Amino acid sequence: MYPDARLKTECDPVELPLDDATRAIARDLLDTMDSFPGCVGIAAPQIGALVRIVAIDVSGHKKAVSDHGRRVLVNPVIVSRGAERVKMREGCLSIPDFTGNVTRAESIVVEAVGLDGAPQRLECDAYEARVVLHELDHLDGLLFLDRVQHARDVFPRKRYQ
Amino acid sequence: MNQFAIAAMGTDRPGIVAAVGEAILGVGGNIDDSSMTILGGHFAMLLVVQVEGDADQLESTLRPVAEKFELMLEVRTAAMHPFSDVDRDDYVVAAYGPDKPGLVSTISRVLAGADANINDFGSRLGADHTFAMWFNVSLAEGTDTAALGEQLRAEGRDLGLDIRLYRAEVEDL
Repeated sequence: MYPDARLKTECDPVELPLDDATRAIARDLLDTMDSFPGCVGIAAPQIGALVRIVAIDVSGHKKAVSDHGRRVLVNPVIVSRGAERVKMREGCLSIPDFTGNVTRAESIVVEAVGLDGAPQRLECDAYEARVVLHELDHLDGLLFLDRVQHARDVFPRKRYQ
Repeated sequence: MNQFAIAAMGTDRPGIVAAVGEAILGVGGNIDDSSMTILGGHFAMLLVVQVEGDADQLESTLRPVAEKFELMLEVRTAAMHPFSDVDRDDYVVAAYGPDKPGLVSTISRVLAGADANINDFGSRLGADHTFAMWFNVSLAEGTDTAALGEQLRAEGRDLGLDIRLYRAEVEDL
C-alpha cells in the first residue's frame, strides 16, 4: 500500500530461464489476485517483489472485449499502441484513497514470457488493454496518480471496494 | 460589451449559482468562463462575464443575490479574452504523499523559482491522509524540464512526496 516505497521503484527484469523463486512470486501474484474479489490485475511490486511480473484476468468482465483469460506476464513490453486514446476512471488496490480519470491507449500489443517460459504476444483492447497498461506502470514505479492531468480528475473515496 | 471578473464566496447552500446566473441573464450578460468549488463547506466561484455597462452597475445587479446568500462579492473589469484557457497548461506537476504542513509551499516555491506560472492548482486529501495535488503550469521559455523535474523530486524527497513533472497530453484526433 502507498506510501510503501516499493510502489515507487522501477522493477528489475526477470532473468531467464525462469527459476523456482520467480515461479513462486507468480503463484503468489495469482493467489493474491484470487483473494480480492473482482481483482482483474496485479503487479509484483504490489506484493513487495521488485521484478517485472504481472498477472491479469479480465475473464467475463462486462467491459472486456479482448479476453486472454488468466495470464502471468514475465518481462512484459508494450510493442505497439493504437492511435485511439480513451479516458476511464481507475482505482488501485495499492492506493485506496482515490480513483482517477486516466487517458490510455484503447489497443496495445504486449509481448512477454509466460509462466511456462514460452514467449507470448497478446493483442489487447478496451478493458484488457487498460488493465495491462495500469499493471505495467507499476513495474516502472508509476501509479495512476502519475497519469492524471488535473486535480478535478481525482476523486477521494472512503475505502477500496 | 465589456468583460468583468466576478468573485463570490460564502457558506455553501443550494441555489447560489442559479441566482447569480439569473441576475447576469437579467441584464443581458453572457458567462464566458467559470470555475466553482466547495472547500470545507465554503462555496467559491469565479466568473468571467460579458455585459453592457460598468463594474459598478454589474455589482448593483448582483448585490441583492449576495445579500440573500450572504456572499462576499467582488466585481472587477477584466481584459477582453475570448477564452482564458487556450494553450497554456503545457506541463503537469503531480505530487503526492502523507499529508503534512509545507507540501504546497515547497512545490510552489520551486516553480516560482523557475519562473513557471501556475494556471490551475488543486488537491485532494484521501481518507488515509494521502495528500495529492496537481499543478497545471506554463514553463518559462528555455526551461530545462529534466533539471526542474529533478529539483522538484529532490525537494519533495525530504517531505516524503512523490513528484512527477510531465507534459500535458493533447490528443489531436
